[in-house]
Amino acid sequence: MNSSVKTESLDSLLAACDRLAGKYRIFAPTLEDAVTGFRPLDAMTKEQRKAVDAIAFANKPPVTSVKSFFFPDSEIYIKFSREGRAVTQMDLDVCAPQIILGAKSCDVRSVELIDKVFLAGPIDTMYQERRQKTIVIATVCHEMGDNCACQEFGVSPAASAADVLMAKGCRGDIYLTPQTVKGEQLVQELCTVGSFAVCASLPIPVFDGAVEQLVAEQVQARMDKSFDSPVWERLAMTCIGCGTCTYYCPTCHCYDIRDFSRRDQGVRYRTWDSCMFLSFTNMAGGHNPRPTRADRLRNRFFHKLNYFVKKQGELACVGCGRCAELCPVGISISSVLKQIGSDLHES
Amino acid sequence: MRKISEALREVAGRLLRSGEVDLVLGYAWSEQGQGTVPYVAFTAEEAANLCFDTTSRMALSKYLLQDTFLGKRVALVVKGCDYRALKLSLSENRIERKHTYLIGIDCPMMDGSPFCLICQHKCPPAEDVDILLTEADEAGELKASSHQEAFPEIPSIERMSGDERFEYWKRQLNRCKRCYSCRHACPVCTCRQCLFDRDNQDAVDPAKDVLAQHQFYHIIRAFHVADRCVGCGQCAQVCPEGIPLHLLHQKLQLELHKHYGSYRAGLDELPSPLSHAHAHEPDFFGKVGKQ
Amino acid sequence: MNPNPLLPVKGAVTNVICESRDVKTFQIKPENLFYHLPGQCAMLSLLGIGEALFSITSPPGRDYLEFSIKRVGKLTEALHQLGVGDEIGIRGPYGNGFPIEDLQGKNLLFIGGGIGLAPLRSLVQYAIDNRALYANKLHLVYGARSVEDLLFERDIRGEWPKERDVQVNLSVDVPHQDWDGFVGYVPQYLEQLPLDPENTVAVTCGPPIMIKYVLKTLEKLGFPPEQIVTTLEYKMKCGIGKCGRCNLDEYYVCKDGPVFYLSDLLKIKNDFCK
Repeated sequence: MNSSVKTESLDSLLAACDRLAGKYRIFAPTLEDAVTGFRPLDAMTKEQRKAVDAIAFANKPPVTSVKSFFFPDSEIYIKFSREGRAVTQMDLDVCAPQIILGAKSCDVRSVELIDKVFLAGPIDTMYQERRQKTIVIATVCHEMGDNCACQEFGVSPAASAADVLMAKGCRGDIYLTPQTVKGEQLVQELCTVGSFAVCASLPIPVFDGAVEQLVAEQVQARMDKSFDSPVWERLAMTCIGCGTCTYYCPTCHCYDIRDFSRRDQGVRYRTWDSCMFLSFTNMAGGHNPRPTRADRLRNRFFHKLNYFVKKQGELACVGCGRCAELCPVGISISSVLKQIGSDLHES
Repeated sequence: MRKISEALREVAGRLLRSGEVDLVLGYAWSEQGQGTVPYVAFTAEEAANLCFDTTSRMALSKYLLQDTFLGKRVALVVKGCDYRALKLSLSENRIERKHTYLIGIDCPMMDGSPFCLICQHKCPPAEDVDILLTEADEAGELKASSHQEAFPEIPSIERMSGDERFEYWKRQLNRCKRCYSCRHACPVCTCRQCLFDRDNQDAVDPAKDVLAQHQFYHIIRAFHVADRCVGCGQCAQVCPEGIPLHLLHQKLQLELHKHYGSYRAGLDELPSPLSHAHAHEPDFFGKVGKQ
Repeated sequence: MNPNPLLPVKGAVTNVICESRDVKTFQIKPENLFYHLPGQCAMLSLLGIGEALFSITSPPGRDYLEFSIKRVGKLTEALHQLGVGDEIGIRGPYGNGFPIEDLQGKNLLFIGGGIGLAPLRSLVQYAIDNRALYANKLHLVYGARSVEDLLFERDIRGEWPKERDVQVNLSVDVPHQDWDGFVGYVPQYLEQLPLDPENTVAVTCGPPIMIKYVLKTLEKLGFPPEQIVTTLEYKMKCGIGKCGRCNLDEYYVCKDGPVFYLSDLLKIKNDFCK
């Protein structure tokens, strides 16, 4: 494994990134109107650039996950124009190479989980292209945030399979440790445009194992037993049926396909959709296999804690805590796990 | 809010033990430990979990329109704004008053809610609820304010040039993911089938790149609820992207007042200004009334 | 680089048959014909309007694909406007198809209602095309609302009854002066016919209400769930098991279905639309 490089500050790293702007679109987490999220480095104000440090190294992920980089909330894949009965398809812009600077372990892991959906046959080529053209630089967390449950779901706050691991030393110097071929190439590129020195890696924070990890098969089995439990009706009573949990969840991947046209021009695009909406499975004629909120709520949690385990062998949650923080009525995957019972962890 | 919480637990326990109601819909401390969230108590034991404080923001009246509550006798905790929303549903015959036991709350003002500072209707009328709980020993003073004073953030936006204002709203609304949290949390957004849920209509698609669809969604919704808004502030509070949606609604309240005079949703008689027309009203399609 | 699985390929309409007042069968030749199994489906696409999944009603081995489309909404209305030579987008094949290997050497009882005959037709014709493998009895019981709504007349009254050991029983819900066959619903008709579950698999497609009663009748007649096959209809968008919409327990109806043995369906916890 290649050794690390370091540079004297985050500013120095960002300056090096600026010099690569001709080749890559670089995104970093910052604040916009008091909301955390990823923004392009070349479109940031001075204040936003200054804010990157605190947010990239915070012990929790930003509000928007990195899902949008691979699976955007709206993506056109056919553009056409019509003349009489003839329809011509137009070329689309190709995805530019991009760097995500400052992702968290939970989000990095979430991409591995949705890879299992999009990169399984038939391969989703739009997702695949974005995956191939994106380099992920992840930061480490030194402790778990308020709503974080990463360790319960087998995600280490301090280690991930990102292309590059980024850590901050006590003097504010930034350490980059490449972990993949892509990462190695990027670090070399950065070294040629910035002032970096080869060094020993910073020790990764160790988490003492105080948090017990959930066992996927046990959770799945408990869910099977809880199918007819009154807990779903109970939760559905206060759920307002919006799509917040699904859209901010980094492992949710449901989408809709729509056509949009005006006169002689149009597009076909895909867009995020939510299984929490009544219209998700509603058919012409009024038939709906999940007509009540309880049906939909139960289906969502079964997908995360049961169906995905049966199909892919893993729980479809990385414990990022966004559902807990953003749900307007305080329903989260942790509260569901509590409700369905104990003995779900390794002893 | 100890007094209110204790009184609430006492009333709820009593109602559930006597069987006068099937359930009590109020608030309880969130498991996430970040304030109170909506809570349903079915038994006197569960009633002990009820509480009320300055984080009890979510409007509860809308739940009564859900299948899970229909046909049940519900004791409902209502703040001033929530009571107004409930009144709308009552007058539209969506809910029956006889199935409800209203626990009115003299609202102490919610943390961080944009409308609360200038709220004129904190307390539901005592004669319209079954019991009124208050923390204070005497009713608080209501600040009288003009509509202009009521919404202090609006002037700074009105002072922007057209281009600046466009950029401001474009930046805010481009964060929208169409999660519809605002719509679902709004207690007066109660259409059985929402315009935006219709299948195959290409009027307002979720496509972001094409023709600013997200911006249209918010503007259209603001117009649809313009004469129904009760100032609960939930739209802005639940938005995960921190979009200041309350500003759209406040602005429309000002406009409504300018053209139709004072109208308070849920308090004044129906029909509301936008649901009917009189011959003498400003003719927007002609020259008169157009700015 | 793989092709984008959501992109339709170009196809041309080569024939249109008016089956009834609201059903037309379209014969389509895609730029690249793909091989399909009976019971599989394909997405038909009109840019600017949308896509939907339709069963392929022709059997494999032809140089075209046939789809029978009922006019019920915006997309199907637009499809009905297509004529010979018109362009249409197509992608597929999707779904698991009928269990053609399991069905070899068995008596096959096909029970169809209305447009439900469309997916069955590919299987019936496939069995006839490969009679050596499906040498036993082929029995079709098919019903429609009225005489005018009977589909595939050229098959059900023309070619199929001519074949060896193929029995076709037709019924209509409402009487007609020129109709001297059975009048009533398919489940009722089934009870009157001599049917033997011995070495027989029943394959049924049709409106949910018909399926519900057909299954009851089959149970009465002694057909175990392992000998009954049906198809499910769900709202689908991607067709490739990724958009998440058509899941039924951990299965995606577009990938693991839409064909299911009743014995498998009975193990499923969730309610489903037949």
